[in-house]
Amino acid sequence: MKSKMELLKQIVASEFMKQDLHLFLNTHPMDKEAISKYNYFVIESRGLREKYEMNYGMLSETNSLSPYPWQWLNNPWPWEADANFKFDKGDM
Amino acid sequence: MEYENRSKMAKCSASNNCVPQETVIKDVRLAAAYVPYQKLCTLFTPLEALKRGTAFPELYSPYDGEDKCYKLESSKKERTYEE
Repeated sequence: MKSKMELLKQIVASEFMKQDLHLFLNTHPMDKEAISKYNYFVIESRGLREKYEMNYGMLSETNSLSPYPWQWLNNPWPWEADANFKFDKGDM
Repeated sequence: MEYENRSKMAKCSASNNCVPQETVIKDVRLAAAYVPYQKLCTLFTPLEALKRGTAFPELYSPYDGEDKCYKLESSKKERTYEE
C-alpha cells in the first residue's frame, strides 16, 4: 500500500500529464498517439483518485463522495504542510 | 522559396531519431513570423514532467542550470536560405 503522500504525488503528476497533453491536442487534434496518451492518463488519474479517496479522504469539495459526518473539514487545508508532498531524489 | 532550419534538437532528444518539430518550412514570407510545428516524440515520465514543468522534452527550457540539453544554441544554429 502506497503512502498517502506518494499517492498524492502520483495523482498530481498524472493530472499534469493530462493538462499538458490537452494543450498539445488543441493544436494537434489529429494526432492519434497523443490522444491515446491523453486517454491513458485520464484513466490512470481516475483510478489513482479513486484509490486515494477510498483510503485517505476527499480530494475535492464538490466532486468527492463524503460519508457522515462531512469529511472535507478533516483534511489539512491546501496551504498546510501536511497537505503537500515533497519531491525526493528518487523522483527523477 | 524554401527556408530550412535544422536545429540541434535531434542530437539532444532521446535515443531514437525522432525530431520533435518540422524541419522544413515552406512559403516563407518577409516580415512574417512563423513557429515551427511541434511533433510528438517522447514524453517525460509524469514525475519528471511535474518537476520540469512540461511533459515534452523538446520544450524543457530552464532559464539557468546545468540541464540545458534542450535549449537551442543560437550561435551554432545552422541556417540556409534558398530561392
